[in-house]
Amino acid sequence: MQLVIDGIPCTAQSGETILQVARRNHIDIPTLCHHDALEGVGACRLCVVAVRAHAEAVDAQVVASCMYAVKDGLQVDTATPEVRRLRQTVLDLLAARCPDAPEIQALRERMGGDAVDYAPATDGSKCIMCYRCVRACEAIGCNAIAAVNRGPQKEVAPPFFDATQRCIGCGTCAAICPTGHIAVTETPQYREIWSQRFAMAQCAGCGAPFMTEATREHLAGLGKLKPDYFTHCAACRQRDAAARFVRVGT
Amino acid sequence: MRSPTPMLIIDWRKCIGCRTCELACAMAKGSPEKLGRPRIAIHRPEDASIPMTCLQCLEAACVKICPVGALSRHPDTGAVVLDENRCIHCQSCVAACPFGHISWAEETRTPLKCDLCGGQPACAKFCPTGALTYK
Repeated sequence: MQLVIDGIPCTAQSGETILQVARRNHIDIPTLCHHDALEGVGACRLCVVAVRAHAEAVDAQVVASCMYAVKDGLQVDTATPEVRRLRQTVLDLLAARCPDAPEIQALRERMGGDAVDYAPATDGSKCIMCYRCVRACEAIGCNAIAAVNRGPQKEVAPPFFDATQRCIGCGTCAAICPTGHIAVTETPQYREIWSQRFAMAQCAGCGAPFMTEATREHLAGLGKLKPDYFTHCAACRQRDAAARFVRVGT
Repeated sequence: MRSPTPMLIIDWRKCIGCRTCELACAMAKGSPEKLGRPRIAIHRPEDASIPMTCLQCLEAACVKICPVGALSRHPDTGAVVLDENRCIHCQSCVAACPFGHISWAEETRTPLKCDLCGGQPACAKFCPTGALTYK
């Protein structure tokens, strides 16, 4: 099907989102919560664009481009005054929510405009509610964290803010967090995340900690690979494989 | 089953352990200012030298374990390549490779693996003895 984004004719497949088509055609739409591998949730509202059903249509509707499936003949404008104003408001509010998150300040500088300074929050939170952590946890198959409470009290946490067997302490949520909000403490013996302590698995070769015991059980339990894949750290596996290859070849 | 694309062939008997491949890889994966982290390493089991790098397995453990399909085979080069925009940084691939050929870069939170330099592997180009060839 065909659609027009900022005057540029674009070809698209059914089921694609406006954001996917725009990025493929090198049209920049700012995002915070979007991640290529995770399903769009439209959480940050930064990717809003104006759409009209066809070229003659007068009424424009503002939609989140990360979730809006393309339609034939769609006319998309990524930078109308209204779209700019809405994005600015989103960023101004996020800047007040997370004054310490450099990503927000950088986006504000990049997008220019007249920023409104709301009273900044003082709780030190850097969470921008993008749900990347929640969706990544779901993709791994754990579903250990979710949004709890409503309004200004809303935050991401494990059920009842308590230790949960669903969490394997893999640390993906912290690694994918764009603002570094999720705290991880690591020692050779344990990793602490979401106020829960996980014992580290020691490499059978060198004794170095290389993942949590729970992560090892999770990966082995997937049944995709044999459990004995997960006994050694990568460095020891490479060293052992080298010795094996040389023995086979002589 | 033989791959229809060229392959990086490691003939370790010709390896003299000069580590030129490591340097070539570090240059190919770095910038003019800074060397990158090499995706190849010379190991010295017993009295031999053997260059160790991704074998681009046809049935790759890393591809199997990745929960989001961020690793896939490049249709032209045959290399298993990482789509960094899809990676969720879970390190499952690092844990899964039976040969330990995927390492982890904490600074960028990304797995590091050989991508055959997009079809022109620097290691093979600079190997002085033909221990690494791409054909």
